[in-house]
Amino acid sequence: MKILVVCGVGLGSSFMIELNVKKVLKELGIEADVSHTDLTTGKAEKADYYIGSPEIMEQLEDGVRKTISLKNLFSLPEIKEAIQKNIVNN
Amino acid sequence: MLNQLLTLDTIQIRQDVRDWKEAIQIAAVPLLKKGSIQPEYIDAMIENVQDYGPYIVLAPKIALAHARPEQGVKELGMSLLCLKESVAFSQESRHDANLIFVLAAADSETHLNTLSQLAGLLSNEEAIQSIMEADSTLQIMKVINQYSS
Repeated sequence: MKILVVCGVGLGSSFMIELNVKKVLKELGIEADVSHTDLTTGKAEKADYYIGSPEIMEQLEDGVRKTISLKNLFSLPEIKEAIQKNIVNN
Repeated sequence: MLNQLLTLDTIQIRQDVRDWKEAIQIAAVPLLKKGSIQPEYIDAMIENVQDYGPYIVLAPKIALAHARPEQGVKELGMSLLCLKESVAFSQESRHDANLIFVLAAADSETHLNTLSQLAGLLSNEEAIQSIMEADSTLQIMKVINQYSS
């Protein structure tokens, strides 16, 4: 499973969120390949799930991509809930 | 290390600002003075918000402004502006911010260690609360020191 964390520039926020996503996945015992990138690259790169802020996810939505929006990118409980809801149940 | 970039010289406390553009401009002044960035980097950060929206408000009350290394970064730097009155990055209240961090990354690698320490800090609500309530930059430094190893 490949998860791509996306932000506008792709070298600040997305990296920090990647760290938090990895932390949560480890806690849930889910194996995944997580990386971060900017919006332009993210649009061209294939992944099973895309994670980021609602504004960025909106721009990625094409009816095919599976996107997960986070309001608070630093809230581990919110990330955990979002992953459980979107990934574990699939 | 986070406390080598966020120092008494790069942290500012201020009552309020006119708008989010002024917040980014003021927050970046210490980096301009230190020579970490060129003036055009500030414009690039503002354009980023205009292009991509208020996503730089990463968590309630917290914004991280940055642009790309080639848009005017001379060396790695970080600064922080703490506002007593929040500034709006959009019409929606969830985009109000009190803590404006500015990141100047010189490439896509060297800042990652510092950012992982910042991520640790920003994930802790108590630490954020202490920084927002601090009356002096020294108090803020004490919180940052705890997240710098």
